[in-house]
Amino acid sequence: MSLKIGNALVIFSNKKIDLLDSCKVFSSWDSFLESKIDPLGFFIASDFSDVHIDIVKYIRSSKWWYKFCFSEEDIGNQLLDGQVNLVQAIDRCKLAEEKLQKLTFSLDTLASSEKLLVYLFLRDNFEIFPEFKPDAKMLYTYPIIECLSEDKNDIDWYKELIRRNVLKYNKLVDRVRLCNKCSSAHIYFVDVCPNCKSLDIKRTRMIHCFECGYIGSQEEFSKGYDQICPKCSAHLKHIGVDYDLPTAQYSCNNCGFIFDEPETIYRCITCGEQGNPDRLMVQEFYSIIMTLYGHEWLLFEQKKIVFSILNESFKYVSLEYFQLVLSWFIKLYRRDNNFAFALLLLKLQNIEEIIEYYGISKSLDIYRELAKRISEILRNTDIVCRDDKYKLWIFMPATYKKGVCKRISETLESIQPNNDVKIKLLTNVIYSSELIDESNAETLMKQLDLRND
Amino acid sequence: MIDSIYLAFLSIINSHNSLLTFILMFTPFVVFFEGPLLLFTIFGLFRFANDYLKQDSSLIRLPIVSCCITCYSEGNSVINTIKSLTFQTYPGLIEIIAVVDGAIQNKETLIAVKNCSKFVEGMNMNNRRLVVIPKWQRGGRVSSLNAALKVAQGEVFMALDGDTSFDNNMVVNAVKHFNDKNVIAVSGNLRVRNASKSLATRFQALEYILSISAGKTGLSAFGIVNNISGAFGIFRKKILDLVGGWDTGTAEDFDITTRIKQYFGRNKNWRIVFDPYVVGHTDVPETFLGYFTQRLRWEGDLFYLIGRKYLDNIKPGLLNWANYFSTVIITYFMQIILPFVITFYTVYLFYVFPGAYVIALFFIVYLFYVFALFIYLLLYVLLISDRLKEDIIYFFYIPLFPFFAFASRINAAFAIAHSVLNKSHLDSNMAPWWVLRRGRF
Repeated sequence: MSLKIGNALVIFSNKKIDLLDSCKVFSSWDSFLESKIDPLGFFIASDFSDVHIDIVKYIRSSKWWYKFCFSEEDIGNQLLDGQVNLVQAIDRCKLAEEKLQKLTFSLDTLASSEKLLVYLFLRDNFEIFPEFKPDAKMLYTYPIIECLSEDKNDIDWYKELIRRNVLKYNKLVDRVRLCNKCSSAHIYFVDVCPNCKSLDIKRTRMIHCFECGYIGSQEEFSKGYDQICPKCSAHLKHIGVDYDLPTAQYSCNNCGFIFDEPETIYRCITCGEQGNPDRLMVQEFYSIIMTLYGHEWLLFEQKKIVFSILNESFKYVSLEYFQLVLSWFIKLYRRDNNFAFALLLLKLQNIEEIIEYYGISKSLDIYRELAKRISEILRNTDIVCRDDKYKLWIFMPATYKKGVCKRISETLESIQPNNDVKIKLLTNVIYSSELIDESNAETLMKQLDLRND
Repeated sequence: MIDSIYLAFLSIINSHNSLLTFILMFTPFVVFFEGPLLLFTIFGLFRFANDYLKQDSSLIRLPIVSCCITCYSEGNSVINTIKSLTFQTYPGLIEIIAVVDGAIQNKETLIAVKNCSKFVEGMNMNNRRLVVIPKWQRGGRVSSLNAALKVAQGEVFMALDGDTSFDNNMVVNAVKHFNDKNVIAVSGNLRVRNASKSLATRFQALEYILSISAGKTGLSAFGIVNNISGAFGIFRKKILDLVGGWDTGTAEDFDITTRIKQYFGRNKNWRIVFDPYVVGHTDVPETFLGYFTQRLRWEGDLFYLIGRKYLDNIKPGLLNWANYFSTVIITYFMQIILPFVITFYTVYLFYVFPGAYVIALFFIVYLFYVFALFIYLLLYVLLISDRLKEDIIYFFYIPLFPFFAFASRINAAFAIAHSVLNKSHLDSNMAPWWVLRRGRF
């Protein structure tokens, strides 16, 4: 796996700067691109502070997305790596390059989610904070996640990383309610009549006549400066004695309904949806950090990780225990031929190739699906075991018919990707009927392993 | 016994004996002295009813109205007062100023008032405003009123009690009177809210109807209002500023009425109006003991004011002639001298004449009273009452009412004697003693 080690710190400035050996000054992003230089890191001088947003977005969207980018002035932007001087900038960039050496895979084929992990890996204790943007759809964005996304409108892939415990939420920053149709946070609320949902409601002072129990608006009762019940004509003189105010204080001009509290509904500014506020989705925005597991995940051999994804579908027994059961069953079969069985071997042959071609996340998806499908073929009496050489052993008691291999290859075919690089899965099976007299569990497994067809 | 009373009764009717003639002359003196006043008032009732029909009853202006509620230990009942003011039909601005006196001791009242604050705000009305003034150090009702007067922005100022609530057209009806530039104050009609509680409250309710609702209406028709009641007084704020607010001491309502009336000699057209349709409802003591104790204080305080403080000021030049006569007759004679006359006269009769004879004599007086009260109440119900259903029941109480009135008179005589001898007005619960002792009288 190749890694490009940069050779110069790229400085964006129009000023004259006392250059250190390993620095190059550019006055624009385009002039930097034309130079074809391989950067060690980036540095934004004070005179470029105003345009830092453009430059840093170019960097994070380019193939140098993971490189450090410092600034001369203190600019509060998460996409930058802080305010340092030139010497410190070079030192830290070099440290980052060294750290990068620990990773055993190519940075060129990474998917968004892997890019994010590398980005976090290079920056110790980095915490991604949601940034408040009043015009953003959900009011908050994660700028770095947005920059690293292939599709700027779909940034939800980071939630998968959290589900896998590679990343975790750290601190709750805010809670936002979103339209349940379009997920926009740009909503407002209006009071309406609970009966006919009309907007045309007003707060009226209602009066409740004690004489006849009639309830109506104050205007109905007002006769000059006296209050007279329109129904029973009682002269209502004293509050609490002749009349009082009922709890209902609103009336609808549209349908005449009288009610205590108006109903509140939301309206989405983005899509025009409206409804009960209870239906709004609640979105919480947290700061995000990488877990220890995330670090390990990056440092581990990728192949192992992919193989370990099979854990999700199978329950393994230890090799020792597997051989014990197998040898016991061989003996049982010799006593009574009715106890037939089959031993199945699955070899995952080209994990490296798949990872190289599809990237780690896609590979994980592919193998996860494969494992799931195979586990569906198995019966709950089957026993599965794995060894450290990417082999799966499956012991299938009470199996007489020879169809397992075919079914597995059909399954494989159904999930095989359309691209040139296909999953290579070797399937070997031996049935109890093929048993040789002197074979025991160990020899049987060896025999199966050596059989290549 | 009944035979001897009957015989005495007949003999009184038929006698021409010289001593008896004197007694007979004296009995009508008591009876007929109140008689002319009664006739005068009845005439006033007709006059009011006649004027009321002609009255232009529109609101020309909507001045700001400041309602000062003096709160002490009323607790939650102050909520009723504030509510009834909030829901007035008056379209102008009503500024409700709740002054909580001794807010430290009266936490419950303060909390109730503060809760109202939220309630008034919650109603979302731009023409009602509630101002809460907690007075941590107790200073008495007068100091509460003066504090409210300082912050009040209204053109019309109402001095109201924390336990009195109001009909929803009260402010509208009161403000109408101020269309007339010469009206400087309106006295409100107080009704008894807890009338149905006991016999004592029924009698007091009837007394309020006779003396306030009917009596003041009648007198007001002639421009004579003897008192603007403390629980329910409505003033042009300009006048309050002119007289410098309330003066320390008890019976502050009568005090300020008198001080306002002292301008009447110079401003001949100024008037105080009583309007039976400016209605407030208040609670009265529920037992006879409570009633007599309350009256003991009121009557005593009255004597303190007109017998001591303003004795020199009762002159026609200061008050104008009509008010001078009404003060002399109604206040001095009816309220101060008559209780003593009745008390001593009763004792004298029993001392000089046989029991049966005296009882027969009293029976004649009683019959006269029942007859007069009946006519009086009937006129009130027909001409004035706006609550026919509630008021009609009081016809049943009329036969017993003279006994109640008689006991009240005796009680008043005691109160005045107590005030004269012990200066009881310095020992009131309306204000702390250290405030009362600073008064000059």
